[in-house]
Amino acid sequence: MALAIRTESLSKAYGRVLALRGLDLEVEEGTVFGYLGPNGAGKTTTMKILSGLARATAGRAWVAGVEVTANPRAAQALIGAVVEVPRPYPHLTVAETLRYLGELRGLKTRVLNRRVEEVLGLLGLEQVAGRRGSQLSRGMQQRLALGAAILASPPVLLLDEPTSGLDPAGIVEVRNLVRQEAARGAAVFLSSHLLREVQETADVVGFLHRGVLLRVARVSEDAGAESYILEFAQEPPAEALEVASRMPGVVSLERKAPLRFALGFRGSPTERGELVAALVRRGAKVSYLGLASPGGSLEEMYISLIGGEGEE
Amino acid sequence: MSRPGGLSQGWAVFRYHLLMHARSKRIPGGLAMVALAALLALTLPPLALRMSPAGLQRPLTPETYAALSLSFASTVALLSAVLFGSDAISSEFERGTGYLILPYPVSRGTLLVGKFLASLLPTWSMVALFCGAVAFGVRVRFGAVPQGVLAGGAWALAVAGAELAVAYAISALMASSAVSVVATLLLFMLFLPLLDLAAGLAGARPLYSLSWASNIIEASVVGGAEWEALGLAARRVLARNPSPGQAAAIAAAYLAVGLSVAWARFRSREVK
Repeated sequence: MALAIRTESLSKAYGRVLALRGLDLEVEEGTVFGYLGPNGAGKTTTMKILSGLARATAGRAWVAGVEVTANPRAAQALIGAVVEVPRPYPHLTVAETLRYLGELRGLKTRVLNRRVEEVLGLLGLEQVAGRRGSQLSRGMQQRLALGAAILASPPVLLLDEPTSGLDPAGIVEVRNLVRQEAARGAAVFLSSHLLREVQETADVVGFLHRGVLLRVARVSEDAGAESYILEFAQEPPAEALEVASRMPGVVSLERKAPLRFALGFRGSPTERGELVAALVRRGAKVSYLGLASPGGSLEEMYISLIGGEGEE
Repeated sequence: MSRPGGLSQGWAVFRYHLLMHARSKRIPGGLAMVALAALLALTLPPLALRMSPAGLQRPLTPETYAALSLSFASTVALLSAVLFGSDAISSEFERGTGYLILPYPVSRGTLLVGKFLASLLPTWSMVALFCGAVAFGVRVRFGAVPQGVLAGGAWALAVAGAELAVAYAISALMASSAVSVVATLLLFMLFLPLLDLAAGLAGARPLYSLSWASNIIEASVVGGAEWEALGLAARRVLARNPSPGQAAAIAAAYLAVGLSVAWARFRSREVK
């Protein structure tokens, strides 16, 4: 897959404070990249540089193949961004704001009209389309900013705390929106202080601490599940494995060696017992079932990498 | 994805920012300011002349009346420029609207020009309304409008444009809109007039000063010698009015420098 975002030794200093230290990052097209780190880690600084709001002190960055650091205007044509807390113009209505920003994008009238209607519907803004920016709640302002970001269906979305100020229903809508955008092929670079949100939305996560990218990890479907080692005395029947993989609590079942499987399991001990019983009933000779590692949630990964410096 | 041209983007910026001005409280505020200024401009000149012994001995002519009334135009121009321009750039950073618009593929220069023109139109409208009110008042009182009032109005527009450019520059330099407003007012109402006075007392022409150049507004109707004859103290000091060439050069320089500074700072300014 092609790279939608790439940075090479990207650094940013504010006076004597180094906000980013040689960031090397790669985000593929159609991927949701969760960007995690405590306050002051450099997440927003990264977003600002990628969106052209700030200049890198050193290093280079590319968005959809265009070098942001050399040609910010061309790169900005390829991104939609919600950085920090964008405020709408107080004297423009929601629909007018979207039209204004759409015109700046160069959308033709017919396309613009269609997209404005779509975005208003997608973000639940139809009822407030005629309301001015000064009359919007924080959550509505955030929805408007998201709408403006996706208006032109850009190949790269930079979303800095996109669920900030949203109610639970809004958070679910944004999660779905992010997945939809990724499904159409956009790369979504997402920072959030809600680790669970990132876990449920992101394909890949990066942990940033004091301007340094500590680790990039793929969020597997079994994140949060416990990992077990399941061994058999002889090759288990295919039907037994098929049934087992569909049983309650089973998140994944993957062969690691001829008679050895990695089992991702999220369920009660009773359900685990039922799983073994089901395997045995279908002729599988289970010789060992043991815990390989406790649940590998993002929270645990975050704590182990960054410690207790305030979740973000 | 295609990138739109700067012209169409600038047109969009102009239209939407004009719409914002039209919906803001600045328009009614500006109209109230113009009404008050016109009222003062049309009632105070006779009083001012009565305070001058030399003025008492001369009849109030349409030219003198028009010139004295038009002398308020520079204040109207300044207040209009402050009203529509002194937070134009700083507010984008201060209020957070910059986070919305600045990631868009539009150059800061295009944004600046579009916003400036959108501020210029209401600024000029206020100045034109004031000058129109003065012309109307002179006509009602004397039955005719002296030659030179139209030229004085045109000079007021030129001064307003130059002051707006400076207001934009200060707005781009300052972090806070309130500070920007105060700095612009102090520059044109205190700092430059003091320099004008010092230069006048020294017998020099302050060719660096837009506030001195703005004397061309009333000088278009009545010449410097007439002011001296009227014996108005401050005008006696400043009787050495700018020539049209000097005034035009100073206004053009303020416009060019103001917009250049605004563009240079806006272009390099990062969103914190």
